Amino acid sequence: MLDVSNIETHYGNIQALKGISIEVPKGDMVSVLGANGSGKSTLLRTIVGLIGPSRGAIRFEGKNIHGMKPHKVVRLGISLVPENRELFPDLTVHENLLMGAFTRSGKVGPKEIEEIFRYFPILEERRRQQARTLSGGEQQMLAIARALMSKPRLLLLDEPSLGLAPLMVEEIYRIIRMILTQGTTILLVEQNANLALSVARFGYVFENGRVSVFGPSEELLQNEHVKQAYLGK
Amino acid sequence: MGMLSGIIQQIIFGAVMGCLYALVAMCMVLIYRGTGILNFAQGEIVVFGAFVAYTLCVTLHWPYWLVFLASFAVCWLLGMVMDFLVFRRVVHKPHLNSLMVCVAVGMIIRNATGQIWTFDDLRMPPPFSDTVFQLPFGLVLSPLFLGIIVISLAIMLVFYLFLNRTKVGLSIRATSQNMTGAQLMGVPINSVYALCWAISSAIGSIAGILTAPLFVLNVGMFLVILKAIVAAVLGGIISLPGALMGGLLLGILENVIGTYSPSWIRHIFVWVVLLTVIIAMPQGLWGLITRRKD
Repeated sequence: MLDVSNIETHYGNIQALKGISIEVPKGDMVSVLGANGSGKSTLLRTIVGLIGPSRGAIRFEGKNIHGMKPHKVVRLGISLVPENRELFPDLTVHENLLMGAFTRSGKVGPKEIEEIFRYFPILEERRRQQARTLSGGEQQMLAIARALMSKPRLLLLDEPSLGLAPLMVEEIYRIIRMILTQGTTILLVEQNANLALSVARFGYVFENGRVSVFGPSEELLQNEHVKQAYLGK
Repeated sequence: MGMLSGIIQQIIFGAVMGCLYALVAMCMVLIYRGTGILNFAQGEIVVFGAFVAYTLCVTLHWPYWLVFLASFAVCWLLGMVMDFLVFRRVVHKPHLNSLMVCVAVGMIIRNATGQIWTFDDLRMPPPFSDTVFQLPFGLVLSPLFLGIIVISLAIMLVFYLFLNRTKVGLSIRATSQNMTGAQLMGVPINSVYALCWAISSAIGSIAGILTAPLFVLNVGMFLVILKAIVAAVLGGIISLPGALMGGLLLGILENVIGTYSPSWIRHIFVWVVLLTVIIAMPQGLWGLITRRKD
């Protein structure tokens, strides 16, 4: 479904991605692991067009989306839940969700919002509140819920567990699994390797802008290097 | 006329000017929230719009309703062109850059206006009669004053509803709060910026048409309009209700204080208000009322 081949991305003079290739099969969940600054977030930002890649190709369902503007990438069915959430702080929860459906023509029916609230019951209680007033976990839920409003076929998640309490992390991952079983393809970036490899079928390990190891999650869980560096065993 | 009705009369006159300040302040708030630019060229845009209306009205004898529409359209285009050529390149850049750009754009528009038309004074015919009629308690009002108040308030109301009740309005608010977030939702942010400039210039032209008959029409009128920046800051620079309150308060205070004190006070009063607000109350009136601490 998503085919990234050999992309290089620069921030000014610093090269953040040094020839990354990954593949995300339809209906599957793929995780990207790695330390801070290894290029994980940069990969996602490059895919959605927030940063232009210097070299390489990005194909989504066979179509080259390399260098496409972010607002056009969304229309193809790719939605990013960014690391810092990028919510609209002074808009209400409800308005944030409406913004999630911006690319879709026609009105957003109350049914659809109800459906989203079934995944995220806490958001229903908060629907008239400004996004700024939510707790960290609620904000993360809102960010995911908002991304789902565009009905993406590919969901990109950037460290959804970051800074959240363990119970909240569990809740978020329960929802992520639900989204996956509904048929949405997911590319997950996560520092918590145990967590990521327990839900995703494939994993890629990034080191300094390159892929150091990749394969099915079970294999990565057995890999000595991955165990030592990322699983703390 | 008694002292009290005298003051009330000055409040009414002040409210007329206050509505115009509020209208222009609203344009500045829109641009500031949307693009992070404090538009010091707004005064020149307003004056340009008034000159366009002068030609259509006096030279071409178009009916006034058509003059309003045509000036609105011309300034809408001017806004889009300015955005495309200049302003979109300084969106959310350091204030110094955008400030200099605004000063330069203002100078260019001011001189272009003078070259195209004249640097001399013109007499703009009022869209409504400026003959006063009597109200109870010895007060007076003219159709022109009434028209200015009604049109200004109506535009502000329509604009407020547009921002808060439509999908495009929602996307403008979203973009002003989080540019990256808006892009990720599929908002073409460059179009949003163009729209903000178009709207603020077009509404500015209406303010120009309404202001010119109160004074003489010349390129120096931008100085009158520029006082709207004080109204915007007084209101807290980020809120539309704040801009309305700031505009009305400024217009009324300026008029009342100007009437009962020497003229030099009237001239510096507005700018003293600006300094006072920035030093003592940087969050503005709206900030004081809503008490948002962030």
